[in-house]
Amino acid sequence: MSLVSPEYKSNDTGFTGVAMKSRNLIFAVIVCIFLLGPFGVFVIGSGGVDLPSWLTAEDSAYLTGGLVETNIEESLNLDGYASKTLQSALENKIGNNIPVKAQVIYMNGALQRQCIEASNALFNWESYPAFFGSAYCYIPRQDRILPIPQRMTQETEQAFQNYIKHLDEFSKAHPDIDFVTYFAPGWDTALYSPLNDLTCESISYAKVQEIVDSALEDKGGSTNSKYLFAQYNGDQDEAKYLADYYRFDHHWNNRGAARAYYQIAESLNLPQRDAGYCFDIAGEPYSGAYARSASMNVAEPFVGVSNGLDSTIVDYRNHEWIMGEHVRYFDAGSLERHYNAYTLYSETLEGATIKTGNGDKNVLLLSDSYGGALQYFLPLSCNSLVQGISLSMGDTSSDTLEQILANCDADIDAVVFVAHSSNISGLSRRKPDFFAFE
Amino acid sequence: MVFSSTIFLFGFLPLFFAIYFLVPSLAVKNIVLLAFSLLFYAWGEPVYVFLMIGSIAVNWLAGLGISKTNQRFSKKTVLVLAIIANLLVLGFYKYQGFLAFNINRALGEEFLAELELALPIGISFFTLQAITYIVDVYRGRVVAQKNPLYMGMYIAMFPQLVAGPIVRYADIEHAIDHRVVTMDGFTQGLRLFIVGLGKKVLLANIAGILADSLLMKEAADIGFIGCLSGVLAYTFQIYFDFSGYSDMAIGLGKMMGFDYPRNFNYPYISKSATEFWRRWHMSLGGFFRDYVYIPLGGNRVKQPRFVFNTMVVWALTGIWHGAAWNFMLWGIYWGALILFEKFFMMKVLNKLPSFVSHVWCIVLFIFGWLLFSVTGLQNVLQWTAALFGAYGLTGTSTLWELQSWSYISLIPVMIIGSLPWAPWLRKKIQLWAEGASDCNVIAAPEKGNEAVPVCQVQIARSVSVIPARMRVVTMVNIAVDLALIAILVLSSFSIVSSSYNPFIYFQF
Repeated sequence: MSLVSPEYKSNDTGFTGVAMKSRNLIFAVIVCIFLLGPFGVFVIGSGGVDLPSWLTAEDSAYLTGGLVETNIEESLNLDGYASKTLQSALENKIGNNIPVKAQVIYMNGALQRQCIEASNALFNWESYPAFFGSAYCYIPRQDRILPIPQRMTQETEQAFQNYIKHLDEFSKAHPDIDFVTYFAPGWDTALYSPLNDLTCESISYAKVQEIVDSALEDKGGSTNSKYLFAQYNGDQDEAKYLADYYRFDHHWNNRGAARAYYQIAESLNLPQRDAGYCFDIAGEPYSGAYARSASMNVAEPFVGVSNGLDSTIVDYRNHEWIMGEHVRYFDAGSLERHYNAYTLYSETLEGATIKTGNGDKNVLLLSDSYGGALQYFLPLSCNSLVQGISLSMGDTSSDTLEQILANCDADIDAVVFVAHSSNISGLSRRKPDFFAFE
Repeated sequence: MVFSSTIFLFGFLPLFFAIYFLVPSLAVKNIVLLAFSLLFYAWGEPVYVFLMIGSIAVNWLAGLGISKTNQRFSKKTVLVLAIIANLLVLGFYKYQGFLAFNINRALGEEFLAELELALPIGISFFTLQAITYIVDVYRGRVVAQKNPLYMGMYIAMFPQLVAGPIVRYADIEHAIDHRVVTMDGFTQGLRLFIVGLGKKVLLANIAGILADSLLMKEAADIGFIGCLSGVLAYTFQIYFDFSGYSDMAIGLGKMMGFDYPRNFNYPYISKSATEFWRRWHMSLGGFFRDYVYIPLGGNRVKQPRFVFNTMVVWALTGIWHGAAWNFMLWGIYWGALILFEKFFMMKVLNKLPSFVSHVWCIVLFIFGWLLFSVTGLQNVLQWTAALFGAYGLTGTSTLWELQSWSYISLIPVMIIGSLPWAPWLRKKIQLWAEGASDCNVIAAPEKGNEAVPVCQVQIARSVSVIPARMRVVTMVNIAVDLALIAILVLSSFSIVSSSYNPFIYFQF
């Protein structure tokens, strides 16, 4: 009997070669329809039919870093072919037409996570990777996602020490300005993270605090430069911390920012005002950076804030911007709010000068994205607030602190640095001359 | 372009088959296949595609030259020149840097410039394929192809172009002008393609995540568990990746009406090094046997010469895999083992229980993959020391950090996937359906491709099937189809998610 070319005749009239051929045909048709999915989406979309975003690749834009604009006509030439831009454009075109792409990404992550959970049944670790090879881990007890912490290295420790040393020198040279550095616990130094116990010599918030304390002891410190850490004490404050920081994003929410505001205001002797009330914005769940990076379809309430700055006019570099209304947030579509709430709500005033006259001091806030939320609190206690993103990893400006101070319209009385720990240590690596002065 | 990519699955493949089946004549189908094969290659190698076209032209002319002359000396001259031309191109692009580096190091000066050339993808495969063609023309086994486009189609055929199997011209000579594509053949090939895709995407890529993350670390950082996990993960990765790619290639060929030979025959069930190499990358082993070992005299020579022939073949096999000393060491390792088994061990192995022989072979190929994957002699020594506990259980890492624990649930899947349960089960059900009383099945033959056709995923229904049992056979076949569709869907999920998808053939 040949297995390569089977005979399909049979004694049973119910099962003939026709049945086998039909089954082959059905199988082939199903596979062909599946493989033609992106082509179908492209044709239907090109025909003017407005497909729902979940049916196309549109919903996946935030999960994949955005839908890449494709311009095939532009690269349809020899240069485009030789440089492979034509090939990339065609590949991106197909990628942009994958049906239900967001759900596919989530489902793929979920399937891998189930395999990992099955493996974890033997070990019962408190946390496990979100998918195979993921740098992000899920913590079921806290229903939280965190990145795997980096290892503390000599270079990192030195970078923190350099930051303190250079700021110390600068502050001594500028005794009329107060300096505060607030180390926000986030991303690599999240508090109450079981990952610190699961990994070896990882960077932790406590370790950073140790390094800073040790550096200050050695230097003696200057009286006008202070270093603040979030005040959460022991296990009883775990719930408080988890309420102040997003569980699926690396940022604090407005509760956490408000808590930091009180600490900063106290250290700068600013008048402490009521930060306002923080509330969960109903019906607008937020799926932050961690959720996207972990390919997990999870979301949490986004925390809004309403305080005395609601109707303040802001001088925003020739634009008029009304504080507190968070226009960009409420004007954005629901999909963008779902994935990008923090940026829309909190990071709208980059480079702005907020004049409130609520205090005596002009404050310069230099931060990474954490500073965005503080812009809605610090002006409660100062005359004006200028904000810059010098501590952000993406900031490419080469201005020194002295130049930034010189460019401010008013004389600055206090400089507040706010960022998560690695952006603070990273400052001395990215901008070694930042604290240079004449 | 790789098979496990969105552009191939959702763009190239549907477009190719749409046009391929629309054109009526076989001649035009061949041209379409050539055109798409060149497009497939040019996609990733927009410049080197001309190198391949040059190779096609040279080998086509060589084949014609050999066939047109009657004088043996002239035939041999053309053959030798053509082989040298092929090997020079391969040697230049693949080994120039390696040779220059080692010569310069030996001389203590920069005698040769290290050009750091980008390696044309698949050059090792299509060069060997071309050599088999001109040698077979010389030996009279095949007729020289007069049509340069058909010659191009053979060398550039996209299914096996970048990762094999090494298809000999004799395997497809008849099919060039006489193949018939049937729905049965097409779907057989489609099913095998899906099996291969699943192996590559769902098994190899996942194993590769762990393998790559551990193999790039120092042995002292990961200890015994890390090193063992890393090399085990690599063992599974390379098998499922390579055999999966071969399955996809053979499946695609079948969909077009070509019958490519099997390339992997469940090598991990082997009981000796000798058996392992009758099951692993069979097309490569066959090439070195028929075009290097036998011309050198094979085993029909005195013992010293036999040992020499064997070691030459295995050194070449090793260095073919990559321009680095660890590949040469890996090849010599296998050559030495095969000789050891032939002279001493085989008699012992034949007397031992199967289980012991299996363990012997498992240890051999796992250590072989350690030599293959870890570069640098010092690293190999450190990794070997780690496997004997020199750096403790987890080195300077915690067990959690190694992440190998998270793959434990996949180990049974990978082990089962390496075993010939599918052909065994298929045969068992078939014999049961035919009412055979003695169901003693040898699922995976010890030698060659002969017994079990590679494309037979479904259970065949012959005239001997008992009617009452046919319904079960049908239900099993439907279940197989549903499982294959699920594999296709899951594989597509993984590809679309831009999950880890390494292409490990860049050095070939």
